[in-house]
Amino acid sequence: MPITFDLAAVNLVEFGVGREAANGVEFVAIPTDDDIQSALQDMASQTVAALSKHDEVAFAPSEKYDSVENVVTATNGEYAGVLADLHRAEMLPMLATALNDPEPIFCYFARLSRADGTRLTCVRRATQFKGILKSRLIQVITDALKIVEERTFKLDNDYDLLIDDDNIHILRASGFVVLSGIEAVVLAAVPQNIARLQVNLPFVDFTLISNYAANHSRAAKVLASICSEGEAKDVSKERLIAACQECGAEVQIVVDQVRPQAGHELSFLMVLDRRLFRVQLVEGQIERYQAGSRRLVQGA
Amino acid sequence: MSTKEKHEGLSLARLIMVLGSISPLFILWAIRGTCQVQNAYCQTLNETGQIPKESCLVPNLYFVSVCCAFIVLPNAFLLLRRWTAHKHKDAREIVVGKAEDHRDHLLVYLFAMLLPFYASNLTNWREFSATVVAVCFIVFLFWSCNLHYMNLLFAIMGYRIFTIYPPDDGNPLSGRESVVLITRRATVFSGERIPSYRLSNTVFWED
Repeated sequence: MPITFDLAAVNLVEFGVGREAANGVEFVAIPTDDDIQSALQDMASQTVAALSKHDEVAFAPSEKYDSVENVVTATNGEYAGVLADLHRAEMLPMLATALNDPEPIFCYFARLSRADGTRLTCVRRATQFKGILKSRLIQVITDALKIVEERTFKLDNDYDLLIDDDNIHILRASGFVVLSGIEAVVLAAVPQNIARLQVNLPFVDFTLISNYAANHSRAAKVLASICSEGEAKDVSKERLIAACQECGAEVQIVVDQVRPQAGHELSFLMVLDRRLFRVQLVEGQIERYQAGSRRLVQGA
Repeated sequence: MSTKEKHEGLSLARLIMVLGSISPLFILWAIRGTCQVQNAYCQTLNETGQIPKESCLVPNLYFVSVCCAFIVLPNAFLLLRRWTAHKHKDAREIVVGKAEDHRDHLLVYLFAMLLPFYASNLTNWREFSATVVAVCFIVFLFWSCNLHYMNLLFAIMGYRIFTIYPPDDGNPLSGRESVVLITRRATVFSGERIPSYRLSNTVFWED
């Protein structure tokens, strides 16, 4: 769903940074003048323009995305994490001196508000923002160059993601993964995801998978993708076993239950997530591949 | 550095605003001056047709000038701060969880500031020094307690002062600190969103 927020009707622009704190992360607002507010609005316009160049795809934790795409996930969804809290937070604490200590800053954000109460929250990782601090800048004062002594921060051209009341519109999925803390979210969700899968796949013994996914973020991401995309619905036991054999994911049948062999837990999950496949184009030569990124081919 | 610590910011601006809030005291002092009629003997002479002599601790011209400066400059600064916030769109949305009308603060202000100091004697150095030191203590207290919004100028201009508590929305990132809103509204309702200009980090002004 495209962004419906009207950037021309913004009446308030709030700037702030996210910082690592002793008890997690905190987001603080920093007062700015109207020039910076205009720059922050321009960045939002640039981001909307960049997003519109790509087709919209739903976010899946196990998917590998290009550097710039148009990925969408629900603001109320399980992957929004702290970003949903940031979007809905009211009257963020104000700390004008937050930039005095740039080390713990991991992102900066702008919250654009309209008179009707709607809001667009724009977030960007602080790599380039802080990076300029380590550079030696020069400026022309008279006719001679001079080193800039003041601390200088640099705004980027666009944001990593925009958040409206319905969706998070992600331009850089790598940024979203870091900012929303996807790894922690999916690892924490392993028990619930296993329980959800067990309902859809009563003939699978998830004991080994549960233990494995609790300690491996990649497996936890694949597990989360299977659940969120409903990929385990109506799966046939026989077809699952056949697909596992075809793709090299070794399974055993114990008391009528399918169980992956130790060491094949991730492969088993990838079969369920449609990320392992076999191709035979050369006679007598079977090739197996793992898809970091895959899209459903329409009309196939 | 964590937001759990108190970071009010704009310390100097708040100090000047506190000075603005005590400007009515300087008006009273400027009217009273530091002069007194020398003694009863002089008054007796007055009956004979001579002008009674006054002894002034500080010459009237200097004392009145200083009082005028303390009246005009801090309030001019307050208006300048408001103008700057307007110019730079230094504003934020105040979301009302609970609002309290703090007109009773004006009573505190009157009793803490105007009445005791109005009655103080400024005609000898010892009394004068004690009064100035006491005023400094009060200024410090007003400054550290963020009472810099206590200004009769606001009341004269038809503004009211509300303490706004943010809504308890269960969001761990939402602010918990109350702010002061200077507004022409007679009432402020829970759930209202009020765009306001920032005078300091805890005092906001709605036009």
